[in-house]
Amino acid sequence: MLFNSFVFLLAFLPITYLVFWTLRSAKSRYIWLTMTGYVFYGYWDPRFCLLMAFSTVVSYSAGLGFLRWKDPRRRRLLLIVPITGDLAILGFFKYANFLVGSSGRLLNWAGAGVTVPHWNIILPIGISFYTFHTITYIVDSYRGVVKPTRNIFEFSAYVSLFSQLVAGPIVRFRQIEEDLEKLGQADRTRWLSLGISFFLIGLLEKVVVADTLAFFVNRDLANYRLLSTNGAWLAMIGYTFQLYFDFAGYSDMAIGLGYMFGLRIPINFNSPYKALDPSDFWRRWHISLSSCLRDYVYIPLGGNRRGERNAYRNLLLTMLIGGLWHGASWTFVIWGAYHGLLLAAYRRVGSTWDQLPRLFRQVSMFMLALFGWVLFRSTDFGMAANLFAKMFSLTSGARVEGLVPYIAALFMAGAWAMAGPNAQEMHSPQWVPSRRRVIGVAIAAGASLAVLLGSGASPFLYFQF
Amino acid sequence: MIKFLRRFVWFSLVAAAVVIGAEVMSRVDDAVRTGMQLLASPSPGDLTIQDSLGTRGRPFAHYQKWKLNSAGFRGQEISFSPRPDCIRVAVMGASETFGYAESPGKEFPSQLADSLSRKGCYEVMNTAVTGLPLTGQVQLWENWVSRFQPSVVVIYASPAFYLSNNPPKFASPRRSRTSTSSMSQPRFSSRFLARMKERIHYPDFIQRRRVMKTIANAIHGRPEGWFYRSVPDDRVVLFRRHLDSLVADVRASGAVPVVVTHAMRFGDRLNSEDRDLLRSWRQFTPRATESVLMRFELETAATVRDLARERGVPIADVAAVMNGQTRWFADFTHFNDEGAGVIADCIASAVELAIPHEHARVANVRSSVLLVRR
Repeated sequence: MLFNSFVFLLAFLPITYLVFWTLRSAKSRYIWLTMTGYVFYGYWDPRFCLLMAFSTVVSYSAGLGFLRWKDPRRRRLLLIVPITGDLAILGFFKYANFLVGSSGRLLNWAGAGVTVPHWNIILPIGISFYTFHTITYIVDSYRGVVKPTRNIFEFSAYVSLFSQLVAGPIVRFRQIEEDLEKLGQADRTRWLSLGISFFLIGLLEKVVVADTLAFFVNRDLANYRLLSTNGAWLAMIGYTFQLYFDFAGYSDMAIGLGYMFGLRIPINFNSPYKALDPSDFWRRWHISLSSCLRDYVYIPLGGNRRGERNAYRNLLLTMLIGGLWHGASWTFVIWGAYHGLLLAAYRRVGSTWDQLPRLFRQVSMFMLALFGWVLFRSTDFGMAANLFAKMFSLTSGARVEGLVPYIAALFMAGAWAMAGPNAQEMHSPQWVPSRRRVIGVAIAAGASLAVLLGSGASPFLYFQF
Repeated sequence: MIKFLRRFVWFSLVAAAVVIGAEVMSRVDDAVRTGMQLLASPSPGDLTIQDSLGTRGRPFAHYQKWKLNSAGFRGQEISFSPRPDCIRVAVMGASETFGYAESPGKEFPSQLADSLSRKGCYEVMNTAVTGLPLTGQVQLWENWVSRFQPSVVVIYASPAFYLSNNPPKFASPRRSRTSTSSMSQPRFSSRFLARMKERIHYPDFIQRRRVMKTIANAIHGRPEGWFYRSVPDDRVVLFRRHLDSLVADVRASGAVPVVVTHAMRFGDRLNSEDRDLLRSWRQFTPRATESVLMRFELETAATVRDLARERGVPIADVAAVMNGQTRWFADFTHFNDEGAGVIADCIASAVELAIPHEHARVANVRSSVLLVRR
């Protein structure tokens, strides 16, 4: 089910909301959130609900184990076994064909002449996200950062919370533990206007901005071989903004939904195209993932504690894993490596870089991110090479249709992303639903509704990860 | 009371903001995606024009998914003269041919072009005009389509027009019509409302009631003798006469006509969905009962077969292949993408058999050259 679909907006959300606030106890609200989470997830393919239930039960049991046993050996076992299980499931569904295919190609390159099988495996949507939810819970329980919950309904509500289930943000248990604990006493009206406002601004970002850009970008990149130099640049600049507004829109909707149900979900995007350097970029882009990579990969690898060389290695390894998390393809791995190298380079020459004019740093960082998106968007290296070749040599090609609205859409999206306020900045802690704001949000709602009625709900780009 | 009024005004203002935002965005979205002007008030009438040439497609017209070229035809730009060594095929018909329910590029003339392109060099023109009966097509052929010099003319005539209260007739005098009239344009029509109407699907029971109400209004106060309780033979004869006239006109210009029997989704057995659709169809011809509507289709198909046999005209008997195959129809007679592919294949075979020997040779040589080049 998509947040921008009519079945969600007109049926699922109103019913879930009304029943949730009719229920009084925390336990009944946990159960309701769990049930609705499974309905939301099962709407796509009910078979995979079992997978999520299995992952939930295993992680919950591990948490109970941590409460019971203090012996380090047993605790380590409780850490390793469920995480291995989670990663094995993720690995099978997401990476099996990639690993087998890559190994086969390597063997064939060495002259082995093997036939590589290709299994018809359906990737369950959101598996990367809820696997991270459960893994962070297990690791935090092991570290003693969170006290594991004894309430299975509370835990299952956390894992299957529909607002963050299929495309994040990756919310750690400790981040919403306090709100979950107090769910029984939550006040319906406290964050309602804030939640609606967040949700509608996210809807506007997704439906109006990202989907309008997608109309041009998808059309052009479907025939990327025919693009001219101008066409290739326009398509990639368009994709750069499309991806941001698509995912940031989804995250803002998730945050808004969280508020509507009395849960404060942390911010996931903080105007990443205002970033001045690679490190700043990753503090602003997909914050929940980058902070997870930092806390659960980079720091356990040693971080920057064992000398410069190790720090560079750890950065590169962390970003390689981050790239692979996005998808089972070498283009994602190389995209991760590219960002690892950028971070390492910034670590090396950061003090000099920081002396440069602010505008230069912002534009340069935007361009560096854009080059990364070429790899990220390409289905293979051939496509990436073709796009880079077109962007950096004067190539004639097909005329870009609808150039004026295309450039107008890019200009508006660019102005908002690089200079305008993000959803978080629009909702400061002192936010009150003033009349002007309500009218503004109402116009945003109308605009989103018009586009939804015209072209229907389109899936979010991050669903594929 | 004042508090209530204040609230009411405030909620009205918010609702107005939603509607204004939606209307403005609908127009911007149309401009971005389809190039439609911001202040235009589009309607289905934008697709047709009535001028000295008769009723035809309006050049460069654009409405929703439908776009017409400079000649007022659906599809690629086309010149008056056919490309050398290519066979030009004109497809004439009404909404089923124009492509009402199919995705853009999947209407059957487009799929016919794809199918024929595998066999040689063919240019296919979709000259159909929605709501145009055979009489209008005769006029369209004489005044406009014949100028494009097609070698083959496929005629897919809709018989249901002949069950309307006033049967189709030729404009009098046929060639001297010079008045130009354009469709009346509303000053303002909400595109947001149009999008809502397009998206909203009423539940079956509401839809059924609406249809029954429309039919009840149309037949209210009519005497018993007004209804067609059996197939009206005079209307079948009229259909045949008009088809014969078009076939003769096409032949007189040196082109080869190919007639096509008209297909419908209904077969021998009707399920509840079929019955609902049949009733929906009757809204356009309330004079005939549902069973007469179906039998009229079968009898006119037989008439097309007879005419083809008697006049020696090539025929694509689509009705024999598609009648009753609900999976190929979007409604009572309009095709879905798959159905359009089926009729395109049927017609492609008939066109191949129909083309004059020397044309066929040219097409095959061209196709061989293409194969060698590849």
